[in-house]
Amino acid sequence: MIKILICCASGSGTSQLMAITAQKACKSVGVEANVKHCPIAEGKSSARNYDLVLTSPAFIKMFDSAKAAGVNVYPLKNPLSQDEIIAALKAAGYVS
Amino acid sequence: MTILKDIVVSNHYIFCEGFADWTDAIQAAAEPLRADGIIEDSYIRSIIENVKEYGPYIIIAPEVAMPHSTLGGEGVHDTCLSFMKTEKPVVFDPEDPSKNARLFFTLAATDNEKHLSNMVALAEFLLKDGAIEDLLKAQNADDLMKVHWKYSEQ
Repeated sequence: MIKILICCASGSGTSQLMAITAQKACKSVGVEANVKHCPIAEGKSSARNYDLVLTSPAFIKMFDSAKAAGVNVYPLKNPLSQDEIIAALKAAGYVS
Repeated sequence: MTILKDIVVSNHYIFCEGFADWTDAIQAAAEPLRADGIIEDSYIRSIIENVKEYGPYIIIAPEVAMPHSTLGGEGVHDTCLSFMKTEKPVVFDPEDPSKNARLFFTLAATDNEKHLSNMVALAEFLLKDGAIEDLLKAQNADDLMKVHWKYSEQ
């Protein structure tokens, strides 16, 4: 079971959509995942508790410290693209 | 999938020629909800401020924008969405045409569960082959209903 955190500015629109896409993507490649979404302000401090953080390219810099602490952080350009999420799962080594 | 039907039935749609300024586009896209007292000006301002601060992260797919601010935020009184289509693309970033949009789904949310089911329905609808193309061709409420029926059967 991997823990995925998804963030956007408000935590209710874009990240919600990304979370729906992520659940579908994980299912399609057989990865068991616990997906949570929240606003950036909250995600910045809780990011360290997750295996993988996904966010809009605009917010990626806010997760520099989580990245330094070993969390996999990847940008998602299109919140509806399962392919982008699968690519992130591959890059992080959760899918071969 | 009843999002489009709900939008038509509650009169939460608008068709426009275009906007030189994206802030005017967001204002217009939100107007059907504001006119019904579902959102207030403060919520629309907060959407615009968020985009100014963070960039056009509300573009969720090529041609599709989803203007929204915080769930249960100030100036929101119900959970629903409105639809706007423009003939000419609205430009959010002059240097990035992939952030142009002609379809706008403005979100308002007070009820988390209903909001989630709206989001799931919207995502599933937009991911269907041809759905975005069909919406781009729509000219009026009848066309929206035709799109609704077409994709409800799938």
